[in-house]
Amino acid sequence: MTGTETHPGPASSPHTTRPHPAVEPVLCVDNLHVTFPATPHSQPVPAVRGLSYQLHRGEILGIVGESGSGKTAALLAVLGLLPDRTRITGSIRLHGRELLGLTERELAAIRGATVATVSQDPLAALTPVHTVGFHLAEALRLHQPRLSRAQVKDRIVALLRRVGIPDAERLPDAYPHELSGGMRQRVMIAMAIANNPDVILCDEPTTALDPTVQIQILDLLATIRRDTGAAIVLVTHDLGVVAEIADRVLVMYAGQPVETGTVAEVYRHPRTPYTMGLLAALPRVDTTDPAPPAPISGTAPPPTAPPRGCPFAPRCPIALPACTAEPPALQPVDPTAPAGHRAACHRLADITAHQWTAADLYPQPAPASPTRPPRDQRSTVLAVDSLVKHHPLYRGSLFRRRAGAIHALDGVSFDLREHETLALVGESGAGKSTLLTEILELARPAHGRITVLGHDTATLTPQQRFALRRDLQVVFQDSSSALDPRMTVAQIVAEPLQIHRYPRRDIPHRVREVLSLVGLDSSFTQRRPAQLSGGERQRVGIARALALNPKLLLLDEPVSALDVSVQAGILALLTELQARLGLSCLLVTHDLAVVRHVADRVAVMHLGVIVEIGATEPVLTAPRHPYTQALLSALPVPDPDAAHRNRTVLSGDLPSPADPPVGCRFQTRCPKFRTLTDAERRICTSQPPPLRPLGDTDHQVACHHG
Amino acid sequence: MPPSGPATSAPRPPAPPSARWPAGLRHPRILVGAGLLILLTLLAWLGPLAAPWGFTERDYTSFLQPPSARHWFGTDGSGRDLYVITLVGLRKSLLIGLLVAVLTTALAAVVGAITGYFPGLPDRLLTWLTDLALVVPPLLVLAVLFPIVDKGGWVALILLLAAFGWMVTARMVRAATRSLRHHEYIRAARYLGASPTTIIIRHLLPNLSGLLVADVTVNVSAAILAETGLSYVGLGVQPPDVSLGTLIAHGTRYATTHPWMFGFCTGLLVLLVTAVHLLGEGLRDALTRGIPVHRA
Repeated sequence: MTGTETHPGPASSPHTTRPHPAVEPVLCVDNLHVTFPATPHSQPVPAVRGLSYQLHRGEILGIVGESGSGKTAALLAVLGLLPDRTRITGSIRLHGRELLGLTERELAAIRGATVATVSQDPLAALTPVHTVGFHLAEALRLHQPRLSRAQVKDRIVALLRRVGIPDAERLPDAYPHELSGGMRQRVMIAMAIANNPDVILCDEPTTALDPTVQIQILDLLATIRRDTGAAIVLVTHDLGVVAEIADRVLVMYAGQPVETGTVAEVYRHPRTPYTMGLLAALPRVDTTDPAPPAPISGTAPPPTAPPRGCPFAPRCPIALPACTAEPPALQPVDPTAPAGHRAACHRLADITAHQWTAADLYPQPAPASPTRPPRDQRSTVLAVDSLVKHHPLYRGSLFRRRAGAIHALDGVSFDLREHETLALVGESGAGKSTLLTEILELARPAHGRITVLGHDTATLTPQQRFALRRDLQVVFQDSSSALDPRMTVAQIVAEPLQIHRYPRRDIPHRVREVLSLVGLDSSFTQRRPAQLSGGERQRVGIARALALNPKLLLLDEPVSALDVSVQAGILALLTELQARLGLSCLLVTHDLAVVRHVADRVAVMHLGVIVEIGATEPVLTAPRHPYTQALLSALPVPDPDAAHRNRTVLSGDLPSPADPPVGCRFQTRCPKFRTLTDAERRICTSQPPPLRPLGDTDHQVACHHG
Repeated sequence: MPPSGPATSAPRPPAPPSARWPAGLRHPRILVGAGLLILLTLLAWLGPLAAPWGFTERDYTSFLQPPSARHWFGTDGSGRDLYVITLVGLRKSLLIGLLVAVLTTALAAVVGAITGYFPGLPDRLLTWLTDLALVVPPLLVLAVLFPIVDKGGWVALILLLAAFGWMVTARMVRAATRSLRHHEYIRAARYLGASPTTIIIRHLLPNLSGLLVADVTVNVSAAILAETGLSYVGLGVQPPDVSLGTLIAHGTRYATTHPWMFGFCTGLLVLLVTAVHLLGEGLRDALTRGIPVHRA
């Protein structure tokens, strides 16, 4: 699958398929309540409390919420896929037929036939011992038992073609593990549309995918909606994805609907503090504002004990005492306004009257503007020079022999100066984590050289290495696995101090000091990681990294596991700390929007090499490498206007890092490569392009034709 | 508002039981198991004092007599008081069971943690050794090494039993360690500069405690049963020492004709193994509840 096409965004045509309002909705959910039963260890969990929506033919409804908002439970309730003993009340009508109370057998006839699902993790959803063809045949035969063998085979190939799989004839014989994530998701979608369903329920269908693949899948969903007229419910945490593809949006918080309406209405004129906060907290790649996004303070209420009043009141900047008394009902924003925009907020009248926007409610943190000498006068804290790392692959069980290698890093060079944040960006398989591990090991690399704070790691003695660790600290992505579950916060933060022989008497004081630095008071010291929220855990992780006053901080996807509203707080904290403590940071992330807000410089990695590096501003606004351009254009932007922009959609997946193309590694997916003449292409297919500076700036690009 | 913002204001769920030890230990299974075990221990050491008979004393007026006010558990063929003998046997079985189990699990934890933590040569060497120890039939080796047991007494037996019991646990600990090793908190400790010993003692073993405690209890019963089996074929505890195993071995012949010769020692064995299992399961639950760690 090679080649690229430039075409309008997937959301460009909903208007042509928008059904007449008088038409009966396909799916009608009314006052849905879902309560998970109590277990020996917990109270009953009211996951969904009073959700209503209607879904018309050919419509895409995006249900957005943070973790714990009940969005997935609301989706699964439609098909009766929740655990036994879950209490579901209200009404779910499919073509006017009530689904609640149907027997398992009756529901089974609907599942996969009239209503189909696409789940987040296609590897878990496909049985590993069966081929793709088996899965599809099963999906077809279950609801169309009279199809002949040949008919099934033809239908399978047709389905695979329809979801854009290039060699549809051969794919049925492949096993799920042989496919990439994007291909698996296509197979899942093929299974979902096998019986021409009227409704497709998608639960975070693109969350596990890289941006360049995500946009392909969203495109595919939009195409399917257009071709089959199926209605789609898309559950996601990503406001950008919704803006990209959905017609209408429903925002949920703590099990309750907060705001609903057309995407354009809700995104342009959000009418509840929560929606405003979410939109303001989202890092945006298309911003020119150097300040980090505005965080929402506090955390979501515990699902077992939702507050009696408005669930958002404790975090709301404009909450009144009355807000905690009773939950607000969804009411039309404006009787004269476009139909359907409804919001649940006790202060809706004030918000409408004053035309309040996010900027009024959520003050943006001040941009960090450290005074520092120009870059070339600052010393280099980390230098990586032509670093190569191949992970050997072995075959055979009795006699293991080397069978090739994964080219994780192939000649990576960059340097990081004092008081500077460099972001390493790339999709999965780009080699970001390998690079980070190589630096953290402080060992002699197989090829190349790593210099940390002036020390070449190849020549370090164990004592020097130990001493160097004091100045080099790391914050990991998944804060729940980065903290020992058995230790208290105080013990966790004290650990580096103990290891590096900090005076024993001063440890408790230092622990409190660092905790307050990351915004945690001393009430946290005796808690264990399981008792903290995701954002608090990440703060503890940062506190541990800062305990020894390091000079160089490595951040491995520090916010990607967090909810948007919490993520903004951590980003603000990192920016502030970086300026205040004069840290130098190496930030590894897959999210260009995060880079925009916190990094001074950015390096874009693709298959083990850096393809573009330079100051954040020029790289993100005027990218020169086709890969950077594609990555930027694939990024969903939470702006319904921007979603209609023309974009470069890469087709296909990342080539295997075990067998990268000769010459330029991007050639198989490169949009520019396709426009070149054969003579021009020769250099791309024979020589790997070196990083070359553009003019006399430090913006460097590795492209023969950049 | 400061840029970092207050981190929390929401009400907080109560601490999971694991954070509060005493409450976590008030689990019915722990209470019953520990209570039973203490009762059995007291019985084994203090019980014989209550009887008017000594361990070597014989009552030449009653041979193979059923339980009575004079002999609470009856007498055996040579007129010895079965109550005293059974409790002395229980004493030995308790000692052997607990010591062997603790030794086995400790050895397995050390070997497993080292092999799991250090890939490469130590891992391959120790794994090879473990596999070797697994395929050698213990009964055969014990038979060959019987002279040592004969000379060294029950201490030698304990060491031998421990030497043959650690392999399966070690493999389990190794597997758990290998998956824990990739947890970021282990990596984090490593990158902080913590030595492997520190990491194993501070992070790895505590997080395997649920598995290890469960394993000790399994090993207690395994050791008692192994000793019983060995004694049954004559390779275990040697006379004049007695254990529940030798008593059962001796008593089986009389199981149908003189059930008291068989019933009391077997009953105590069942009770002992049950107590240990209850305690172990309860402890494992108490240690791992609310904490995402490995469970056996």
